[in-house]
Amino acid sequence: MVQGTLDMLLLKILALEPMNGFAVSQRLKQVSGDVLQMSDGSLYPALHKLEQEGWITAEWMTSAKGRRAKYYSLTRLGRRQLEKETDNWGRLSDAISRVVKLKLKET
Amino acid sequence: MRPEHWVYTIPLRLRSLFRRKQADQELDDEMSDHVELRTEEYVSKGLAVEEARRRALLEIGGVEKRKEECRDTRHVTWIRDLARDLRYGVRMLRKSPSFTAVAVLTLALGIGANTAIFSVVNSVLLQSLPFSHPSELLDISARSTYFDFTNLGLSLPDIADLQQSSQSLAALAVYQDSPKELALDKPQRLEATAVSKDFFLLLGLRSIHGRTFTSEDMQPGSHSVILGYSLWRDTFGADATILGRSITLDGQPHTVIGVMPAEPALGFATDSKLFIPLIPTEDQLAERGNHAYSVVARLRPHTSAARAQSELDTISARLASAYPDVDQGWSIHATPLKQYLLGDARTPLATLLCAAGFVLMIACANVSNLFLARGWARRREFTIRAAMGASRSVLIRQVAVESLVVAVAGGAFAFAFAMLTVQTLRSTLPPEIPRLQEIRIDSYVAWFTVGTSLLAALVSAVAPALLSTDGDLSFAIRETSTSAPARGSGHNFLRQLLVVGEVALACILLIGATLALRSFGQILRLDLGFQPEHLLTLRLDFPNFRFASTEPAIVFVRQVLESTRATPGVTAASAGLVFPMADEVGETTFETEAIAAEPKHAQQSALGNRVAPDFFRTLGIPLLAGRDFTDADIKGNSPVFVVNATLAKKYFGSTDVIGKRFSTDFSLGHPVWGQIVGVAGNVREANHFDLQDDFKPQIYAPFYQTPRIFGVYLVVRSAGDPSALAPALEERIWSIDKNQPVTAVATLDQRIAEVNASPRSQTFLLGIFAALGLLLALIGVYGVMSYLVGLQTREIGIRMALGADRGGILHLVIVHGLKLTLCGIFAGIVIGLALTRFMSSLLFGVSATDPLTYVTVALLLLVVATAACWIPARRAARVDPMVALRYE
Repeated sequence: MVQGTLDMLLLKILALEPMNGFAVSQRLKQVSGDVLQMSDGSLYPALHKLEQEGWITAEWMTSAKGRRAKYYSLTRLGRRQLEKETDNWGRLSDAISRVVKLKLKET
Repeated sequence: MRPEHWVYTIPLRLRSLFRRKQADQELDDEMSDHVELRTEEYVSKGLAVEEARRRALLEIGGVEKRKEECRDTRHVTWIRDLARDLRYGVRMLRKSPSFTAVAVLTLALGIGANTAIFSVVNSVLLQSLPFSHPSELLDISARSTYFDFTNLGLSLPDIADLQQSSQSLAALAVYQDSPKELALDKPQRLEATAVSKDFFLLLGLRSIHGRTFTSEDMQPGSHSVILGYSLWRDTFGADATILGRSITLDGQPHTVIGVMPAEPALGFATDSKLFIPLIPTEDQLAERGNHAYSVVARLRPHTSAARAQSELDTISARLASAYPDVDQGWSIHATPLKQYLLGDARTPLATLLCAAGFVLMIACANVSNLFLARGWARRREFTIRAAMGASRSVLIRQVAVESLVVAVAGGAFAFAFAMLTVQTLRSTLPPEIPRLQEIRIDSYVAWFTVGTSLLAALVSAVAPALLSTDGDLSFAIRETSTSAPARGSGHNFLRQLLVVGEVALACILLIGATLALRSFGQILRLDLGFQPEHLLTLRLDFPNFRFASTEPAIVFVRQVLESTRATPGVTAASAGLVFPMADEVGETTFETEAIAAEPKHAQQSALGNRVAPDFFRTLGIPLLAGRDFTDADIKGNSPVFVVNATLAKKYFGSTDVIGKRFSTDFSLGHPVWGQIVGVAGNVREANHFDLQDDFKPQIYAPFYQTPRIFGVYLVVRSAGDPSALAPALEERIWSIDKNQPVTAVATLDQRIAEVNASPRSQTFLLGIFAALGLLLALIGVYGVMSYLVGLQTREIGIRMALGADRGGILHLVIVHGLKLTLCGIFAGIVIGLALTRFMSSLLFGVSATDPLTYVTVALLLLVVATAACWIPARRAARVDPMVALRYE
């Protein structure tokens, strides 16, 4: 996975609705069609890092099945961070695709 | 990462610190929740429960490892580790109390010396002046190519021109010393300052009672006066109803309109007892040659003093070409007021701060050595911790934390010590340092102590931290003996290097102190040229309002002298406009016939004095040739002079000058010739240690021929204690004129003690620092030599078993110690030669590279180092070979 994009992906997923770590992992696989491989192992340190940065906040809630789980949701700060990273990503991917599409000029 | 960020993160950090159990429990729950969900997923896909669980765990990749990674994101582990290191460090330090005590005390000495001197620097140099926007204030002084003084006043017409044409000065105020006599039960003469209207406004000073001067007060005939705080408190009992009351100054009633607040003594006009309006006469306003007025100015905001100076250069050049007869050779100079008032205190304080810094460096080297010795003893502990997984940085942190604990304890002792000794320090410092009474321990000093302690901790910890933790695991565990292994060599090299450094620093300190001591010795041994014992001086001033002309004053002085000579206990008495060691010196211009005969000649400058008959005998100044002045040398008779030996030799080539024609009076446009009737021995003036050269030429003229007189010093020689005579002499003066104030009553010995107070205290403090440095270096040399001998016990045993005699062993150890000392002395002398140049302005009669000083210091250090090596060497020589070989 491209360095630094994991934070953005996690923020984006959590921006849709609050969810627990497991759901985040499922959603990531489902949305990216298994292209973006992320091990369960590295998910939690990444989530905890976002929490310590103040971008997401966690809350213990009881799920529909009566199970207590830790739900993460975006903070105001996180929303701003997401915008910033999305912008950066947009610029970066534009630039990259322009380079990739360069054609050899006929001489 | 701004406040909003903290709103989210601070509670998290606090929670991680103080509710760690709960946070960890939640982490557990979260992980197991995940594993369960994942397991359920695989089960629903048809896997067996066991297999599903195994896969779920595998995907996490080690639950404990992941948990640790999650904990690391909290950024608070270092605080926990630090707390643990602190607890452990304190426990280790308490286990070896003597080590801890020596280390703490050593650093306390080093930090204490710095705290004490910094408290002085802080109060004297760093605190801003008690005026508004003090950095904009400038002193404006004049200099002349004809006179030796740097801070002369300006004339009123020049000041007016300056005010008109300057762009960089926002405002300027004029002030002038103007002592006043206050009629109370005893006649008093007070320091008073005449100030222009805006003086207080410009400085930003407000009265605590009443008001400051306004335009009405500046009208001719106004008699307003403002009291300084000390006069108001001491003479008028801090009476707030004083406003509007009338007091008699110089025989005229004046109305008190205000009282100024208490200000620290700065040696500035604001210290004055009284302030009166400066109301110049028409003549004074026009007199361009009268350089009698001091000026303080305020720069326009955002203007530099340098810009003001370049403007002043232009203006003074213009004045010099417009008024060549009076302003030629004069220049105007702007000095930031702070530098003008405090500049002289800089060099002595910088020297002391430097010396204190060296003491601290020696202390750090000693503590570093102590830690190294301990680190070596503790290497098994470190190795075992390393073997159990502690990284090197963890071990370094442990050493650093221990050194921090020691330094903080040392700093605390130093601070407490400084609090207790600040009073003593005030009385030890050179008395002419301004704001001395302001010295106190404030928060700046506290922060300085904290900073110095941290620095000391860091410096002391670097070497031990790097060397003690550089562990080779298997080696150290196997190794059980305390004998010197090959690996210890880097260790020993560093320890020896530290000793060399300590000796070098102690050497520099000793050189500085010895130079100061030798210089002070020169001052004390100085032949003053007169006998200061049994001499009393008193000052009589003759202001215009009591003595409108000179004749009555001369008559009065004659009467006072007759009465004084008749006082029991007085063996001789005379009077002079100044006396040696007085605060002021007289200066006069003169010509000899030879000089006057040269086609393009300039008048020569010399010290000048007018003295009554018997002046030379009273002071004990030898008359080398000719005669003293007599009662017949009065106005109307031809001018006569006594010159000193230096003038005679410099301008006539010999002391055989009796009868030579000589002039100091050019008021008629040509020299009015008189003749030299005597040659007196040279005498020292109060500012004698400012002068690197020898005596200046000096001219004495008869007091009774003086054209003008403002005041006189009586000099009285007594049979017994001169100060006991003072009351009787005052009574006799008042019986002649009950309105005559008598001031500056002091014995010559007191005056000399005052003049010498500054070099004395400088020498004393430098001596203390040097003694501290020497003591610490001695301990350092002793410690390292003892340690090395301890390591070499086995080697020494073998040597002795092979036939080395005890003398040889003694020699071996001492030579080793002396080699280190010599390296240190060499380094110290080289650095000393470079550094002591900066203190040469504090030295008198001794060059900063005085060879005798350097040799003495080197010898002293060698002797002391030999003594320090002697005990370990004796111990080495007494080693029993059998015991030594079995040492392991």
